[in-house]
Amino acid sequence: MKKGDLIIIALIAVIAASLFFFTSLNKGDAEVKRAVIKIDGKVVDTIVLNEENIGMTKKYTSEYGYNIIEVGNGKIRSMEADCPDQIDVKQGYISLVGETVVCLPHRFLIEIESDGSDEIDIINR
Amino acid sequence: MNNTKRIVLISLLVAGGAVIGFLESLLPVPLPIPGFRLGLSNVVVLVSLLLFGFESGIAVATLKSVIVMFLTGSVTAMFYSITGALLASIMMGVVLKLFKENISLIGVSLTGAFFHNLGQVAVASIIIKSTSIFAYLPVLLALGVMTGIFVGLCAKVTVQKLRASLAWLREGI
Repeated sequence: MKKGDLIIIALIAVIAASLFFFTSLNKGDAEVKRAVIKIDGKVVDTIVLNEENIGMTKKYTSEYGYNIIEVGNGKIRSMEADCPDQIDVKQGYISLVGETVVCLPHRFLIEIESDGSDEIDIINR
Repeated sequence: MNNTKRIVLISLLVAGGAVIGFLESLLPVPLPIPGFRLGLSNVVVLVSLLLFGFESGIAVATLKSVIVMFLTGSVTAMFYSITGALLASIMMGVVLKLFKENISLIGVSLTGAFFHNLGQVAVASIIIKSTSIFAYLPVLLALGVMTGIFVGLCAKVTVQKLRASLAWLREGI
């Protein structure tokens, strides 16, 4: 290895560490969470991660294939899918705001958001 | 350098890279991180860049990616990786040209891994219209350092073996 190689390793380490820092700023737990399901960039469903929905499963089918999600106690996962790599299934449950489950072959995305806006709705009512 | 020999070797590199890329796509992904892979087929791009220069390296990267797309038949998956592969090979060529004296194939390979990951995460975030998958980028970059060093070492050995067995490569460069 030459000196330039080590400089490149150091540069990548600095970039990766600072990116890690900034992306982890957006992650955290919240009282009320909801999972937003997107296919091909469009929101197809929103599921509130509350006690009522524990154990719920739902199938999403698109032109690319299907994904079945399962809701747990404040968490959600992709339980089954017919994609070749199964990465979304292997990822398991996510529970923190800002976390995602991605199935790139199906352009399928589960994203957890904090449910701030709905609280405002309740007050308005 | 004899032009026919050059064309034959470049074709062999493309074929070899396509086979490695195809075999790699059959392996189960060891970590549940979207976009993570070893990237061993990058060896042929590194070898081409070093032995035959910038244009040949880009050509090998492009041809290899297209052949792997036909072999695996997964156009969507290739959408992400072809952008990454093109960006990576261009940046590897630039880095090799600018810092040839101070850098080894390991550094070039690391540059490739970095830009491959950056490119494919960017394309993926455009396709699924969400920036949240950039959260995977730091992990991909860190893993890319390990795979990049390994791939760079493989390329180094390949170049040494090729130069040892093919006299015309030593005369040429």
